[in-house]
Amino acid sequence: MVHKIWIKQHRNLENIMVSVNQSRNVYVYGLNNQGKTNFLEAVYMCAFGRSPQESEINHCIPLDKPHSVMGVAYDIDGDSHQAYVKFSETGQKEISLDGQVITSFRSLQKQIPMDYVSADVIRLFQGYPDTRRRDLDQFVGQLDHEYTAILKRYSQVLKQKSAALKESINPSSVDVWNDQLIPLAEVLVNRRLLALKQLSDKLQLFMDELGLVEFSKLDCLYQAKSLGDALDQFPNYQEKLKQKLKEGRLKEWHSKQCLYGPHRDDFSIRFDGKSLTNFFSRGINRAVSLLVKVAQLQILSNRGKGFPLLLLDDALAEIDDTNRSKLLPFISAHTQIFYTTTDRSDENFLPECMVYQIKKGVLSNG
Amino acid sequence: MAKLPSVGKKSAQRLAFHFLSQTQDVVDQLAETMVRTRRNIRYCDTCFNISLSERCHICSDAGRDEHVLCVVSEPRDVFSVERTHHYHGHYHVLGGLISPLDGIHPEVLRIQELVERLRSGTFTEIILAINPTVEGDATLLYLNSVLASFQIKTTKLAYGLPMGGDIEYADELTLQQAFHGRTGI
Repeated sequence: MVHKIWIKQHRNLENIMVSVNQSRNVYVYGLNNQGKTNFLEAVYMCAFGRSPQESEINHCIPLDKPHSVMGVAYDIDGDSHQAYVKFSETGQKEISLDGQVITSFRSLQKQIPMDYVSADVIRLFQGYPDTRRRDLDQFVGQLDHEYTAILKRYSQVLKQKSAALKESINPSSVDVWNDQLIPLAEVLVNRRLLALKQLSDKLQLFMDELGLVEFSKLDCLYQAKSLGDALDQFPNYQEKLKQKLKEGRLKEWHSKQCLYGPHRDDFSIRFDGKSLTNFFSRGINRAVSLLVKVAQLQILSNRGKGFPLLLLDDALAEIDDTNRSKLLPFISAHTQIFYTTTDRSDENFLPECMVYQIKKGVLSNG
Repeated sequence: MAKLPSVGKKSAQRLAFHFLSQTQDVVDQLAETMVRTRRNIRYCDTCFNISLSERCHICSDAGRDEHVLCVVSEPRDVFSVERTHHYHGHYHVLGGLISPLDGIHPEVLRIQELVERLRSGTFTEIILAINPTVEGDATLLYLNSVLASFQIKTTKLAYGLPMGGDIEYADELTLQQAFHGRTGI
């Protein structure tokens, strides 16, 4: 569990230290543009080496400073550890764990499993399928590093096939790409299904305990849209995709797009067969999306020894007080929470928390 | 200088300052050698390896095995295979790999020339020594369909762990291929 954070020269945060002391959670409130998101971003960067929002690390370093430094103190099974990360304006990253220089963030991610969730979490089920695919791919990739390598290769083949569709004069020129896509696609779909099964089991437990909606059965349904959706067809996935690619060869040729494969798939959550996206309110969609992130984090943290940390950036907007009063203590029982919001109204819902106010990048107690 | 492969801005600067620190004769000699080499080097008419004459030193060598043909992507691959001193057959250089993103389609490669060599040659085995990349695999699949009509034994190089390597540091796809290609001991 994390018990101290140091941040030096990160955006508008000049030099701050957050101590969890005997508490478990951290509650930071303040008006807009004071540095709440910057604080959570810096904590995330300690373990991942990248910002959850910004692709350019340079933008996180103040213009008049050469580097940003973040530090985190945490314990695992009673042993204390310290990690420091330095980001230079040249793009270099220096990581040190317990005084030893390390070259990869992978061990830190295992020791401090964390996720950042903003108000945009609603897009998980209210947004486009690519948002869900990206989220699922990231989750499966963290569960299984081989998945990331296979996904990367699949994407490379897909780019080449796409270029072949646009440039070649012969429809059969895509065959050499399809022959590579089919086995890779099967591996991707099988691993997504395994991950969704774990997620579905965990989410069913969460929803049963919380009682946010009345239902008896929850399903995370994988939708191979281009193959006709049906799960019972997956045992012959390779054959099915091969057949579809053969039948749709001319269609792909005319549209100049890769129309079939896991890059077109989607997943949805259903309560007794009713789709979360279509039959439930935005507040419930937001709450379930948040619980999906908690479930993912807990599944990931079960593989290592580290205690999970959830960074909640005003993520409970649109959720009513009754549900907030259920959600925050529930999530807190499963993960440590660093929570930012504009006022102190949620303070009583979050148990065992240190409360800080942030003004112009400076934190003060209470 | 920074346009050269594997040379970044800093290395290019270091090389430029190195040349400036050398005497005029040394730099002239280097430049002359580069220009002469570029002018005199051509592709072998038979295998398309780099050569100083119409036929390269490998195609002209009567001692090479005329029954085995190794198909590679680039001339530099011929040098890599030759370094092993393990292969004594002939070569065919395709001149690249299928990559629509780079505008390289099968028609651009020397596949038709390969087919003609096989028709008129005495080859009984073809070894495809192609990089195991996405583009390499696409080229392998394409060649396999083209060569199917020839009834000639066709093999590809085994994929797997490098000598002296450590299983712990092998990436997942390589390890998977090593398992598929495991051999008896």
